[in-house]
Amino acid sequence: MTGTGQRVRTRHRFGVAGPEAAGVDRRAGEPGARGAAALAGRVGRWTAVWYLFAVLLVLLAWEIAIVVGGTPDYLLPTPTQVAKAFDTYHQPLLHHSWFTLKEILLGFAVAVAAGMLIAVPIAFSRTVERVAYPLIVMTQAVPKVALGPLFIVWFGFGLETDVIIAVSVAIFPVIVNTALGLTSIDPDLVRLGRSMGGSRMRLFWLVRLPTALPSIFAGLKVAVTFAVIGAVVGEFIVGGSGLGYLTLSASGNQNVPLLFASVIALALIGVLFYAAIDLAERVVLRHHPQSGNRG
Amino acid sequence: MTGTAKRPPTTSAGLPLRVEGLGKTFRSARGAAVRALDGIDLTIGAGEFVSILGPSGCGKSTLLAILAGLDTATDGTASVGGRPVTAPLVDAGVMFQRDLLLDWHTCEDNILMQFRMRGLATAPYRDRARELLALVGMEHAAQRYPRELSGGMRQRVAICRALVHEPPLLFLDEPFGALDALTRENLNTELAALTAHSGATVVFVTHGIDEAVFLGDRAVVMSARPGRVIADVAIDLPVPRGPQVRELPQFTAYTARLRKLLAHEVQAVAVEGARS
Repeated sequence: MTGTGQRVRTRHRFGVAGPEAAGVDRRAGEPGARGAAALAGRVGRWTAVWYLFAVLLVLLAWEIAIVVGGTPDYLLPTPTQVAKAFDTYHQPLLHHSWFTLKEILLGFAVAVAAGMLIAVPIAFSRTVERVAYPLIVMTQAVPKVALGPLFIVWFGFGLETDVIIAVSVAIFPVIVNTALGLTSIDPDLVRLGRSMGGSRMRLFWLVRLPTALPSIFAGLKVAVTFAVIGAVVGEFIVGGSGLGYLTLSASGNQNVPLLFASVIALALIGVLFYAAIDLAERVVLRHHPQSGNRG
Repeated sequence: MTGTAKRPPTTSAGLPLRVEGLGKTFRSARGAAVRALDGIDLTIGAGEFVSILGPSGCGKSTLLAILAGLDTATDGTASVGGRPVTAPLVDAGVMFQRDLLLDWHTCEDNILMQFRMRGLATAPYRDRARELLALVGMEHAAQRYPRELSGGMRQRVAICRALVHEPPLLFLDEPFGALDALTRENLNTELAALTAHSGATVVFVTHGIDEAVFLGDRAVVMSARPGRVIADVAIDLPVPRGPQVRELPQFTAYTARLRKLLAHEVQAVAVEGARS
């Protein structure tokens, strides 16, 4: 039985991240290539070993460079000193990490919920789109750091202000990618659904939303990194709590090892969130073709 | 690979179609008015299989969409079973050139979309979906995902989806246009067997002359834009149609005649294209 795999390549301007989006042709008889196999390939044992090796190599070179080169440790500490800082300051590090983690989680959750609620009417009404897009673009053009002091006046010196800043940064990619995903559906698919007696509601849940998922996930990945940035920016302005504040205060005290430890903790949190979304994407989209192909 | 040996699905009898003075004008992207269809009169009897042939862009797909209630006419009327078409016909099975299978559902669940879209429970129809898959030689694929299948296999699943709710009408818009010649002929044979027994009225849009003759009880030839009916040829070939029909001298005579009619229209398109 022969057959040409007819495929329509839909444009994904905010494409499914990664080089595979460039157009890997998946042939028939390659079942489940995306799911388990891809996962095993990416974080397989040997890949992990190579990563570890590379990191150790950099750390070793760093240590040697400082010891041999004689850079003063108040400018650049050795990895050993940073490790010691993790031990000495584990309590404040944990405390502030937890605070920042909460902010990112809250900020991301609110941005996703609100962003999707805003995106749906934009996707379904030309009028709403025409009115809403200029407003969104305008608010997006305002640097959020500049709005920080205003948010402090409105929401005080607490977690709320940091979360609001995180939301204001992270919401944009959610809105844009969700609206894009919901509108970039094959019109014939809508016609087919209507010929099956599908109401607008059922078409949305059974066809439109699942079709939009790859685009939505691409947006979520950007949003989660933006939420991290937003939270830290908030902490810089508000002060008092969070890894952003800890970094700032370590800088003020010339405690460079703690500063490094704090930034590393922040990076780990960022990677953790990104990996969580990535994993969710692999699970949810395990049957979706990789590059948005629809046959 | 045919399902002729097995028990075919039983279906309610087809519905007659009637088109009177149908025309369609739409606005192009540049704002110019384009006349796509003009003065189409067509009567299709219950259970008849009508092939609609025409050069690319002659509006035959638009005509099909209007019949299926998925598009609206600018003038004239289309009616099904005596009632004017004003909304999407839900008692029809529709197929397009692309199979439009949902990648995240198994083949079986794709077929059962017919019922999910209607808000019906799918469980009572599962057996019927499997039965149809078996008729097109795809019983092994019920639990497989579309991307694991070839184009021809995917289109077979799409056929099952169009037939699973036993529709009295079938609207097929170049369903095999993207397939290779051999797969196309196999699918023609399978479709002939399925529709012969279903009793549904079929409107089959194509630009394949061979398959128009092979499948149709009639072949309607349309002109270049604006699309008008320029010939209506009754095709008198033995039923049920198997691959051997293609070797009959009458078959060749029909295709030759239609090819001649079409060549003239294709030429008109070429002249038009050269001018603009």
